Amino acid sequence: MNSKPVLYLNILFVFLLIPINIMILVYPPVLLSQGQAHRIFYLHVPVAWVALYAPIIASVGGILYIFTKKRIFDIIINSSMKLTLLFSIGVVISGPLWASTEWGTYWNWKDSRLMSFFIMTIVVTTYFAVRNFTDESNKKAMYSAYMALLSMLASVFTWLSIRILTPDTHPEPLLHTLSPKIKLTFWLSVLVYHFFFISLFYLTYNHEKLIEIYHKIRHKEEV
Amino acid sequence: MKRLIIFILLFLFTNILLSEESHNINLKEIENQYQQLIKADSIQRKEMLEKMDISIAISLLDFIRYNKIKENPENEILLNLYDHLANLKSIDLAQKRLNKLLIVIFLTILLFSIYVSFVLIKQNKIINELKNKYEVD
Repeated sequence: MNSKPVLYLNILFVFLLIPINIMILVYPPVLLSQGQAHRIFYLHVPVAWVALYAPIIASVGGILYIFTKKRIFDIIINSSMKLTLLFSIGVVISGPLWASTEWGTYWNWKDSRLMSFFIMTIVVTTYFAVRNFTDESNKKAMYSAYMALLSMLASVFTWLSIRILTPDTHPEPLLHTLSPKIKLTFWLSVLVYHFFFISLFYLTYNHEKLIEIYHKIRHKEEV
Repeated sequence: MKRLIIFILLFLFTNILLSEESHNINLKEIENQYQQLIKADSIQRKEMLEKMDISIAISLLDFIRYNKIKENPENEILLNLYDHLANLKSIDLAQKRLNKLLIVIFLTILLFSIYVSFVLIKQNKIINELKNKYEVD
């Protein structure tokens, strides 16, 4: 994963954020019901989707770790979970700011989508606490694998709550009713934020690998 | 020369005719839109308004204003007052929404920048530490 073309591709993915954010600000028409605030939606929804996918990647790593005990899968779990937390914070920041003008309140404790996402964020935060219960690397990895599976369940629960449960105040999925300009901007934004996730995953994965090497060297020195 | 003058005159005349025709079509279109909007239920009306082109929306507004003033000249005062107050309200709401949008963009950029900077700085620190160690050794 260290070859130069991969690195350049990842840098390109990061720079794609500039044109897409300009597009978000100028290209789609203003929604009558939400005004300029609707542009938050092009940021909020793709970031939320990534936050829901990342635990699934972590859980795949978790299952593979449980069966193979290979360190590489622990690195994948940790990288994915870090990004899940990062993107979840992004969702938790952008959602209430949008809600404050549209609902007149920052938070609604009765909304199923908000609450299920909030529960998922708590589960993801717990992952980091559980991971630090022990210093023994094998135990740490095993705890992480199980916590990744739990996070995946929380993510699936959130996804289902969006599709099945009737939200209290959260808007219904309305993309199919919107204009082509809005649809185009939305799907491009989804694509770019997924690319951005790949870049961050590349960065985090290499960082975790470096830390692993560093710890191994220090461990050898101590022995 | 004569032919050229006739040609220019013909060209201008056709142009004027065509523009008149297109003006009529637009007016008819706007009248149709107005009738459709009046007949539609509230959900359909909202959908129609959301999909409406801004130039048609402005023309429709002028059309409604013109008709209402034609019905009763006193409506002009009321419409002007309503316009002014509605403008104040929408500007205030638009400003609040724009502020929220800018805050979201700023915080999102800040969040990701902090994360990337943190990872890169930490990575750099480890690499430097390892480099120094092996150079000394």
